[in-house]
Amino acid sequence: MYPVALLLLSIVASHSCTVTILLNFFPPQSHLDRKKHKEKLRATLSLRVFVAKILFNMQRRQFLKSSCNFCLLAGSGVLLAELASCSPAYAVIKTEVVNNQIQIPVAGFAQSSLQFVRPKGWYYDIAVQKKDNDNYEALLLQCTHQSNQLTPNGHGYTCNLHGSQFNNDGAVTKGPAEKSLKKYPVAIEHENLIINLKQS
Amino acid sequence: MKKFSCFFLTAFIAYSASAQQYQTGAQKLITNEDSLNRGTNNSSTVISGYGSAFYQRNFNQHQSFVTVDRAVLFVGHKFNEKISLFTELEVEHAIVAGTNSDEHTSGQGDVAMEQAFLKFNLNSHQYIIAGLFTPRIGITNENHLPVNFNGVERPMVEQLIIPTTWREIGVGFYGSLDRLPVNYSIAIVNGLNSANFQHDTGIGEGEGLGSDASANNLAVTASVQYHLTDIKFQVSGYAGGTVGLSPRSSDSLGLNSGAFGTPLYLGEADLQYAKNGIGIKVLGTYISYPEAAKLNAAYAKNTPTGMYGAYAELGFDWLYKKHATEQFITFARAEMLDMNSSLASNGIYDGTQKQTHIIAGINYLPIPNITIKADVRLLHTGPQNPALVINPPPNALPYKQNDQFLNIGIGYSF
Repeated sequence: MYPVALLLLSIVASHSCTVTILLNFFPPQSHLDRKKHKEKLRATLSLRVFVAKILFNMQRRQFLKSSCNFCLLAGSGVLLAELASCSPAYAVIKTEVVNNQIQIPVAGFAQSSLQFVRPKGWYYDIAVQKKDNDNYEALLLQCTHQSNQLTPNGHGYTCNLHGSQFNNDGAVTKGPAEKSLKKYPVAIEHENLIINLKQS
Repeated sequence: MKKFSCFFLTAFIAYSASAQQYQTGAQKLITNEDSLNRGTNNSSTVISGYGSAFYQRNFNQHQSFVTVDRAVLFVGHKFNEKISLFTELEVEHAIVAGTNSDEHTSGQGDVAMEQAFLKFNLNSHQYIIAGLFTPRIGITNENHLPVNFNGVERPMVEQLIIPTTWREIGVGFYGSLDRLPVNYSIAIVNGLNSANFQHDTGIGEGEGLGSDASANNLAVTASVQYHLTDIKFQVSGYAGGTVGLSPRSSDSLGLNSGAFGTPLYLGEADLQYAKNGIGIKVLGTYISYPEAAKLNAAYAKNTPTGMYGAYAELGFDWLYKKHATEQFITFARAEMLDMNSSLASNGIYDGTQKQTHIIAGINYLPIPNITIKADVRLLHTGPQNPALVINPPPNALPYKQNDQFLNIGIGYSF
């Protein structure tokens, strides 16, 4: 019962911790906002004091250690989720290969010009990018050096094995890779993108 | 060990629970047919490598030398779509010869396996490696090819504080998230051997290097990388035991044995930015070794309880606007480190271990895999501690706190 109560109270405390930190990082702009800001701060501080008083009879040192740890752990999880809203919109489309072709809807590119296709059973993703001239390019995210998986960076793709880098067009910008990324032909049929995987 | 496991497990659980509300445009199309076409590279064995050679002039000592710094041969083999082998064999300073050899040698050469591991693909964004590998700590430990960094020499912080091409034997799990541009890694490897720590080389001499290393002591290392448009941010950590002796031997020396006995901790964070020809790198690292006093008492060493290093680098590619593969980069880097920033109760401070390095130079890459470099490094250290001087002046030359080096080098990778 004690660990469960501690966990629940720590989650409450961590939420108020997060809110307090966020309120301090984003100060209010107007007088009305400042008044509301102060009220929110008072509320979160009151919540934490309330929690501390309830558990006053528990071992204080154990409580502080545990709640601090859980505060950090839960806070890091919340922070990761918050980062999701700040990061570029990454769409990963899981699909199957049929007749050496992959089909994805064009409508998905309305939100982001870059989408990642994950064919079932494959060990490499395919990056599909909408270019400025409304053409589409599909790149196999397999490093041409030693076949490691690539990860996107802000201006292309990186291989963490030896540091090779490729730009958005798949051309090598940093070695040891020497060859550009494999490209697949892409066609548009009835509002769907068809990626042809057949080896030419 | 438990705290590290709990931290990552709880962080991921908390993230997963919170992330349920963040649904992207991901779609899953299921058909009844499953194609056999994997569309991957058909080659099974790959040979590649890298190397560098350079000239250095030490202005204080009025001494120059040239060397083939290293020549490394990669041999990789793909057994099937799931399992691959990666090896790196390194020869340093061109020649390793026996005492009776007719080849004259400086004695600096060595032959070593830099990496030798199996990679098991779990899916397109997660894999496991097992064997001898360089953990993801710092910037150059994983990406140490001469075309990957500015300057003839690797950053001093990533030689003296974070050991350069630090490799150990172990198992690692690497992956990237679906909804966030985050890469992560966690590995368990054999621990460092503190009996080999040297006063002026940090923890580097304690590496196992995959050569009959003790595995009584273990270490856990983990990292998280986050890409935000043109910025790459990384945090990594290491925690491991440093005594590989049996419990009886350890007890007789007054050291704590076991998997994480006499622990050493390392934390590192770095940031890299690249856009429009501008390249910025910033790195900071700290090592904590709380039980250094016990090690000093056991082996008559002078190991500190703390050391730190940090550097910042700014570079610019003047050929960026040409959008060609050719690059001409000018750069400047400032580094500061102290290999004995905090001392054990029985330690002696050595001011020469507190160093500032200023490096400025050029890096010309006619193609992405060839580099021609030149730079000047200015070194400033703290004063010598008279208590540590065995051979004082006038028997030996007086110690100079400032020194200057000129480096000219070439490098390749393929």
